[in-house]
Amino acid sequence: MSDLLDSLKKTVGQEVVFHAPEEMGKPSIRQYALAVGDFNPLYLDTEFAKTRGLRDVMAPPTLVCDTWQYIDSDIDDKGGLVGRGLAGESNGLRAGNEYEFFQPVYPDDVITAHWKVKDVYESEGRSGSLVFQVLEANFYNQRGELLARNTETMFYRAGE
Amino acid sequence: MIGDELMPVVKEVGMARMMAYGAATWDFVRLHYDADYVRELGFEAPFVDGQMVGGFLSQLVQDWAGPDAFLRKLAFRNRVMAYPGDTLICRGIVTGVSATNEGGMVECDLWVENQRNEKVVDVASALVRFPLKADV
Repeated sequence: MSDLLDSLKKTVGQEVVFHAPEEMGKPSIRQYALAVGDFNPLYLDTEFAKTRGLRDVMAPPTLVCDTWQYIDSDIDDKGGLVGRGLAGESNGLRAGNEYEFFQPVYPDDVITAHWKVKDVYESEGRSGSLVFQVLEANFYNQRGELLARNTETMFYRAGE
Repeated sequence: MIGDELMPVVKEVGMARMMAYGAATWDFVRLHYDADYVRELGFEAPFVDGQMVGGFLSQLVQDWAGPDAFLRKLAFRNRVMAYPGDTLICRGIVTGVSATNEGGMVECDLWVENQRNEKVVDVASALVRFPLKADV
């Protein structure tokens, strides 16, 4: 067993919980919509959103799964927010994501994120052995309502 | 309806949009903007955050489905890295339709190609909920 696989195996079952220090906020929603270039009025126009049965604008669905804004810390030397990683290494690359969305995320939602390492396994890729790490994040609002789930697969190159 | 193609979404991804995405997601990882840093790690250039492409796919599906539809699931596998200057073409096709207690559910296969016809994302899929007619 490679050292990398060995060290990542030890992360299986690890959990971390983050409580956002404030509401999601309309500026965060607008900034994400701007970054993606997705100007859907569901995300930007409160009056329009209300005509579609929403109580305010909603966040673009993927925002809650993509943002780290619920972590209240500082930036580390690799550019990540301190405390965000369950990998112990931040040189992992993204293999893919599976999102499930349960209800709209609103500007006044205060996010709690539960991250957990579900699995670590080794697999042969085109360029040699790779170690995969599967993480699951569940996102809740201040009423404990499940908003979304992100199952994320990262990979690491082994054998160095 | 099965076999219908979603109107493609085309994104020209430059460094400015990559920076905007990093700021918008509170993700300042240097892999996505620091050229010297990524070369030291063996990459040719800073590359697009794979989750940003997920944002494009969400847009593809919501634009096609309209404002009364709710995206229930989105899954994607990143295949080829995208770099600043790339043009990403996001496409989809309807693969399934069913009525459930939750609403009318539509499944789509999705994928993303770059300007060299490489699959940047493949496979990907979405599940979308439409209100049942009686609720409209």
